Amino acid sequence: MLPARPKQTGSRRSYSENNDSDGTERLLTRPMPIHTRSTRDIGGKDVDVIPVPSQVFGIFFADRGELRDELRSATMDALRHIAASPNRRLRERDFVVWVGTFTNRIGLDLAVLGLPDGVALAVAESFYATVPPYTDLGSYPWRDCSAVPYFRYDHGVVIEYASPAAPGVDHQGDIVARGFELADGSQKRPTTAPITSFPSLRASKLHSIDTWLVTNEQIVKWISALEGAVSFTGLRKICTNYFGLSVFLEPRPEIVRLGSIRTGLISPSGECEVRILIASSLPAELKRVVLAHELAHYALHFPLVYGAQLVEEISWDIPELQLVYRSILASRFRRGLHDLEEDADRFAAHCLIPPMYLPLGRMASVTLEMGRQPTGAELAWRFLQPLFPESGLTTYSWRNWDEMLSRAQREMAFVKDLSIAEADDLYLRMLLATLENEAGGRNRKRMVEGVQECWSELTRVLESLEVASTPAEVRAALTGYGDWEDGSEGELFPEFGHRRELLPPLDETEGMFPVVPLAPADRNKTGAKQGLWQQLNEPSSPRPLVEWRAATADHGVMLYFPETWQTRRH
Amino acid sequence: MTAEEVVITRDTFAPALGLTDVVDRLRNRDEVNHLFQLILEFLSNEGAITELDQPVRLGDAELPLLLGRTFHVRLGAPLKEELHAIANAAALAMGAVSFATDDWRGVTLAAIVALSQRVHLLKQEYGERCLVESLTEVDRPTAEAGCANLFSKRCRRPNAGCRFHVVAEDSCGLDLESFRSTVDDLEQRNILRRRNAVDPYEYSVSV
Repeated sequence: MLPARPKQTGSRRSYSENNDSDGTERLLTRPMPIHTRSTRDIGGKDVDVIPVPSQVFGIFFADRGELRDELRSATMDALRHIAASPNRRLRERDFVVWVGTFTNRIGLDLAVLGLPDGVALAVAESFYATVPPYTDLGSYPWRDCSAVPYFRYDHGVVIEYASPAAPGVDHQGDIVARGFELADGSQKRPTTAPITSFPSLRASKLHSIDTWLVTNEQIVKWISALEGAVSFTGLRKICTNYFGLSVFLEPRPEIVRLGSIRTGLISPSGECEVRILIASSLPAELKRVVLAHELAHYALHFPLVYGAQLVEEISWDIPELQLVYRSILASRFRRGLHDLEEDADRFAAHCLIPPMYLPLGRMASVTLEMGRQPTGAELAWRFLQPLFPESGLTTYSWRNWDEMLSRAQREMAFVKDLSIAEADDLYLRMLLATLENEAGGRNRKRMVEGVQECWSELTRVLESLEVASTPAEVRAALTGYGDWEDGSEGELFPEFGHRRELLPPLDETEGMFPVVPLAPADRNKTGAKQGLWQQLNEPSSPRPLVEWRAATADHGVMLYFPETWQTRRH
Repeated sequence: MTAEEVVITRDTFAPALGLTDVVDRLRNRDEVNHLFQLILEFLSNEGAITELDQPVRLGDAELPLLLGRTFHVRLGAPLKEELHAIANAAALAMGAVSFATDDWRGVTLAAIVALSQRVHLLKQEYGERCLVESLTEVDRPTAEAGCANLFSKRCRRPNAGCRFHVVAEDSCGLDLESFRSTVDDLEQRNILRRRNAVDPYEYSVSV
């Protein structure tokens, strides 16, 4: 087999730069230069700080006892030959020669001498002329070769890298001994893809059921066109600029633990603002997952949140309505919030492994690794690893292939019998959801119908309430909806409480904050205040309280808890 | 002194409890999971932790992302310091064993507490703590590799008054001979142990 022709210098590939600051690294078009550390090593030698390349051009040899000595001699001869060349372009260059080991697909251990990927042909030929017989040539990832710096050629100076404790003694007068340090993070694989397609419409910041129907379609189309995992910064910009959703980072865990989607007050025209809060302490990779999850709630379940906000505001006058609404929801979603969480997770997982790649079984069916075909689920697991901070701690390659297979099988077996509610962390949630998507997903018909029916029933209830003018008529209008128990005659339903914790609207300039009642210590039939008012929650840390006007005798003083971004405005 | 109160989940426990520097030294998810369980056990023994219920119900005007287990933790300054020491000892112990053999699953809280007490006796002013940490960070924990991981690099504990701190450069001056002597001493004090019988010797924390 003829040796592969190395690429000519000057024709390097260029990669698109990704400017995200959320853990997405750039692939540089040129390698970072080597520089000398200001301090020497323990042997007293100068130390070169060498950036790790992503690829090396490897010359592979069957590993045997005397090989290392032969390679050392051959490398020195090749570099001396280059240094003595009459061709100035050949002489005047700076590159590192790497040495390492490589296990090929049939389990043979090979030694590898690594030259820069894209090395000049003349340089490679200097090595071909001196090295022992080799078995293969080609470009391979640096990580797969367990490579360390061996020699360096720097404009006529030949440098040999020695262990830290070795003294800095010249060998044969023309070779300098130095130490080395590998520069971390100079080139890493990107974990997100640039966003190349954008929604065709920009949604308003004011949302209603009608506008949601249009925006929802845009969201689904956009996610279907994704070409790779989206970054947190990119997703946030799309949510804000195209889907009309404000995204805030919230430091206080009493406001939000991981993430939440909330609506503001509904205007007389039936519109409201929608915001997403993300815990600011999360790393960017997890912020991305949380934001994708909340976006999924918007896309799939907005009518439920909008309906809840509508019910909340009306229940300031008709508190029983809240019980009715909860009952309507409970009848359609037997597992409560867990139904919605699983639905949102499956949708959010598409922001990590986009729909265009599913099912990964297709890719797996044309893949052979070490004589074995992986499954689609295994590929899904692998693609997920670099997207999370903890699973990304280990980088997998041929070197630790068995470890990877073992871990993949163990984790997939673990999540097989796990439900969303039992998953303790976001990685497991997304792994569960990804594996479900890979297996074909779930039929969403029940969820779609559930959302539609809840909205329809709420609309019917509200229409019947519009014509009720006395408590008795209100009660009659609400009877028959839901399965809650009626209280004793003359009293309102016993589960009712005046307790409220409302979320203030996004637009604070008008000062239109709602009035929220406290829970009365002792409540009588007419609703008149008796005894002390009890605060809704015991605050875990001091927070600003704003006391608003007392609306009516049976409502009392109301509270709201501003989110951090709102307090900053004051 | 008032206690700090934080809410933690599996995903947020590291920054919330000030343990990011410890978690960054772990090698994989299994170790982070194990550390989390050890921390829950430790805080539970101290009576400083309670599990929280879901904050919202279906029908509230918000939809949060809910995770399986969320905890409320009350941390006074002494307990926070002790927690960091325990977590640090756990990281050292897990770094001493191999994923391949699953030995780290036997790293129990009792063993960690005992190790933490021994680690607490390490003399920072003689570089002992940095030395032990360094050996758990390198691929082959030999004296040479451990020393190279520290020597001439930025000092990790500049306020410790360490004799090897090169003040002018704020770097570590722990040379190989001193490193070897200290390792021998730590071996005698049962803080380190040899993993092999042939030079170059490899060392790990004695759990």
